Amino acid sequence: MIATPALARVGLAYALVAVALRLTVAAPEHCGAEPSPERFRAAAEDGVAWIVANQRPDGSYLYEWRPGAGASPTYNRVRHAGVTLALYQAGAVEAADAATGWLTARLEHRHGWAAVAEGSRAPLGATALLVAALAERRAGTGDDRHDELLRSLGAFMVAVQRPDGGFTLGWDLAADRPDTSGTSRYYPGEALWALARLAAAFPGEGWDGPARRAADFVATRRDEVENVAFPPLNDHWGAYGLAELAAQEPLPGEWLAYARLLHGRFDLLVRNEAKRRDSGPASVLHGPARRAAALGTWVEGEAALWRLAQQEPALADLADDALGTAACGAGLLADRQVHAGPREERGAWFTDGVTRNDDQQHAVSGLLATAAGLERP
Amino acid sequence: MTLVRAALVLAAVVNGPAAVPLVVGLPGGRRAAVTAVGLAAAAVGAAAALSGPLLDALDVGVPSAQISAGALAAVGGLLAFVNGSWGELARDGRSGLVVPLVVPALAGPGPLAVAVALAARHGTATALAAAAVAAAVTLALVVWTPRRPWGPPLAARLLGAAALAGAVELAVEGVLGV
Repeated sequence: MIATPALARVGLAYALVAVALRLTVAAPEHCGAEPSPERFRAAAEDGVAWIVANQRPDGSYLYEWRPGAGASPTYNRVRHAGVTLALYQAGAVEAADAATGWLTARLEHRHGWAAVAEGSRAPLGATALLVAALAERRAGTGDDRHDELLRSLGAFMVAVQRPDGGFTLGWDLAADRPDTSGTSRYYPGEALWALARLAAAFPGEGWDGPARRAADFVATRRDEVENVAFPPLNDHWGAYGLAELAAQEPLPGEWLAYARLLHGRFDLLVRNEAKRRDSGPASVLHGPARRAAALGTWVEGEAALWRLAQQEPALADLADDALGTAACGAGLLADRQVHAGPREERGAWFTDGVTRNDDQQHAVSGLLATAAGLERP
Repeated sequence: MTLVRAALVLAAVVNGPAAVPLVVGLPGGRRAAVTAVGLAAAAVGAAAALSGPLLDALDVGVPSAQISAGALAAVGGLLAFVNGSWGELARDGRSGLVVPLVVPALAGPGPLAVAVALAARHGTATALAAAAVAAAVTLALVVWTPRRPWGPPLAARLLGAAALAGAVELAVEGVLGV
């Protein structure tokens, strides 16, 4: 071979970069055991079993558990609503109804609406997720007993929607006006989905207008308003909302373009998670595994985008990718679940020695949605 | 990334003018240059065609492949921009057709990685078409770059800068997944 000093330097530079890439960006990705809907459903059932086994007699949930330290005294009503949603998605109606009873006993009723109260405020997110949960119950059981409540909760969401389609934080109960003390990155997506579900449940009642305004805000302005450093925000609630709206009407090109970007974000997050290991250089270079609440939302998001792609021809090309990424994330979730120990541990997902009920919520929702996608012919 | 842009990025990363100092020492002149570019195009095309099995074997996803290709293309672009060539002739004034002209000069890690990433993201047909166009552009540049002392280094540096821009686009495409 005729080698020159310049070529030797070129070769060395490429070799060093290639090694660095293999350790970092191009590290092997492992998506857990072979993906199968049966395995994912079994993991979801175990997660539901954890939620139900640790539910309090009054319908509230075990919020957070650390072996050796026990249960945390804190609580979060937004997460209570979210866990209840997951139970309805899993068909655990009895346990979910008990949780719904706990939450509806803590509603604030004024100005013709109803909202979940937490202290001196009524956070939008809790109400939105309660709407999603009750809509899920209605769709799954055919029971319309909560229809008037759904309309009242919906009226609250409309009351706190801004002219730009975004939302305030909720309601300041002490001052009796919209809570404009800040904004939330994820409440708009939650409200979008909730309003879209109301539009589906009650066609012709005018819920579609606020839902479309929320979708337009989420797809075209939210990331800028919330100063998201590297958009798009990984908003699985937004993905849920767009998929729900697409079932009712074709979506504008701008929203579909946003959905495509959202798929890219979830895909990158899941693929990076698939590079993480418990030992070896990867554990140092790629950091520790993210908690199930995070990974679960990415799986939920991809599964929702897969459903969206089934309905929108312009996104048909990303359907297989989205379901594949969801399956990768679901495989990681199934691998990381705890399967032994006392009832506070068995069926849960732990990170840094602690589990929180939304770890189980998002994991269960993601596993079920992915299983449903894989089972579809 | 459109077919035209893909072809231009690939041509910039291959950087024919940077290989001119090696071409000069080839017996057979332009005919040899055509052969070299043809062999390099075949190597790049093979990389594109084998993209799927290769990434499967390495357990690397498409976004990671794109970001990696962007990094390798950036390395090549930077080297070409700084050095102005892929190398110089040996002391006896000779050069090798396959080594070092085809590999690692024309069909080096950068072009091969870019071909793999293009095929993974945009399909094998698009990547092969881009490789064919890039080969034609490369041959034209190798043959017609002015043989003044400043000609090849200037062209190489311009293409190196273009390769850096293309590398950023590839990496961003990988991050955004679009």
